[in-house]
Amino acid sequence: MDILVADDDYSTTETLRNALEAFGYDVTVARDGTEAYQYLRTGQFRLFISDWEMPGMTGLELCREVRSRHIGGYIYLILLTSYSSMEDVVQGLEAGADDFITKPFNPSELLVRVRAGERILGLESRELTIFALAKLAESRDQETGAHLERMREYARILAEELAQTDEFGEIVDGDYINLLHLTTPLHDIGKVAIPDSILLKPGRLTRQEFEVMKTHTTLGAKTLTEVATHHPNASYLEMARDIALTHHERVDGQGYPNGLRGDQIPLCGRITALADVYDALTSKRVYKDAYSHDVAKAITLRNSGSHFDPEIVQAFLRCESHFLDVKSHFEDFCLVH
Amino acid sequence: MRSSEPTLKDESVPMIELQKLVDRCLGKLDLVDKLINRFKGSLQDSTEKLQQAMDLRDFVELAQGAHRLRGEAANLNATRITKLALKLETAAREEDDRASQDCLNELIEASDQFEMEVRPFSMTSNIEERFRRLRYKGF
Ligand SMILES: [Fe+2]
Repeated sequence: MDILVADDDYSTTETLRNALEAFGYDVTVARDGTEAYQYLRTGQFRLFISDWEMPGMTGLELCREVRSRHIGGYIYLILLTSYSSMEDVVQGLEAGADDFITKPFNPSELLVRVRAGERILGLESRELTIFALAKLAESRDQETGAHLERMREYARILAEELAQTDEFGEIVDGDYINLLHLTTPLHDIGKVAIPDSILLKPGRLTRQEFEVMKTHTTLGAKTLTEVATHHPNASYLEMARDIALTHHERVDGQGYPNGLRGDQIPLCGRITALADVYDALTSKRVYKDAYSHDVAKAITLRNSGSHFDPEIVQAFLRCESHFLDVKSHFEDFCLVH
Repeated sequence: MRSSEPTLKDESVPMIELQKLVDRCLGKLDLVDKLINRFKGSLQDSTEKLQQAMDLRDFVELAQGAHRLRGEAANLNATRITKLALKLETAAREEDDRASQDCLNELIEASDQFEMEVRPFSMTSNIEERFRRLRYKGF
């Protein structure tokens, strides 16, 4: 891994370089904030160790800049500081720093902090792996475009809205939202096992074919359960399994595969159901044009209490404008690609 | 200067804590040598700039310069200079004219001393031997 180090003090950069190289990292040095920013913009650095006060841009300014723009993947930011008062730590955290190292640094502490950063970045690669897997599963299904990207955003928006409510506030916290965002793309992973003749059939499915199609829920859940058993640390797979299994359940008990009712259906499944259907409605498919938001909204409302959980439909109404933002964001995105 | 504070001319504050610096450099003595020489080479320039700021009573510049010097010195475990630079930084932030000048005088004296005492370190070519000599001198 290539680490970017920024400090205007030569002895600090050279001692850091020496230690980091001894620990097996590659090191690039920037002598001031402006130079550091140029390096960061290349997108080639995932871990950045920065001095607090520097000419050009300060460490705090760099943190804010990195967090406000989306430069490549997540960049792990460590601020070097001779300050150690609580106030400065808070200021650093607010600017988006992930960790602090006090100057003059101690090599073993440096190693621990950098390793922690690598671990966090590893979690992000975990996320990318999951998403790549989901995309692969979806790729056989043509015309779905940015379906996964949009629906995970819809799911996140709904969860954030539910987090504000009395009923769900205790369940839906930041971790829950992140996990949901991470795992919703896996909802249809079981489709990898559905034959092309059914999955890609342009016309209506026969009753028998539809029965096969329905098994994508149980097949997906089964695979995810198996993976979870072999990797006991991967608890996030349990949410993925619940979503795969229950995203076609309906609160009136008329869904599949188990005909669960109301809150027998895990919340993540109920949220994903609305996000999935809304996106299907507002996207063009072989058999239909894309419905407008207003039509999709009307259909969603009509199905409140039958297909969808009324609380989630209410949340949807409260954050309608965010849905529209996501929808138009990906429309713009598709135009340029 | 407040009388309650121990004076840093006191020999109990070491000029440089070499072992700590060697540890931070993971035992790489040529790096230790390079850093010390470079710091030594920049000290006079640093203190001159501080004196200029002092003469202009530019306390912002003075505090910033002292802060910078403190960082450099701290990373080298040049303990006496680190502590004096911190004192100067504090006095400059308080815009205390008298205390600032006193601290600066002490700092200049310590810097000269640093340059003199560290000189033998860079005059022989054998790094191990230079290191030993410095230790003999009680660093
Ligand atoms: Fe599905």
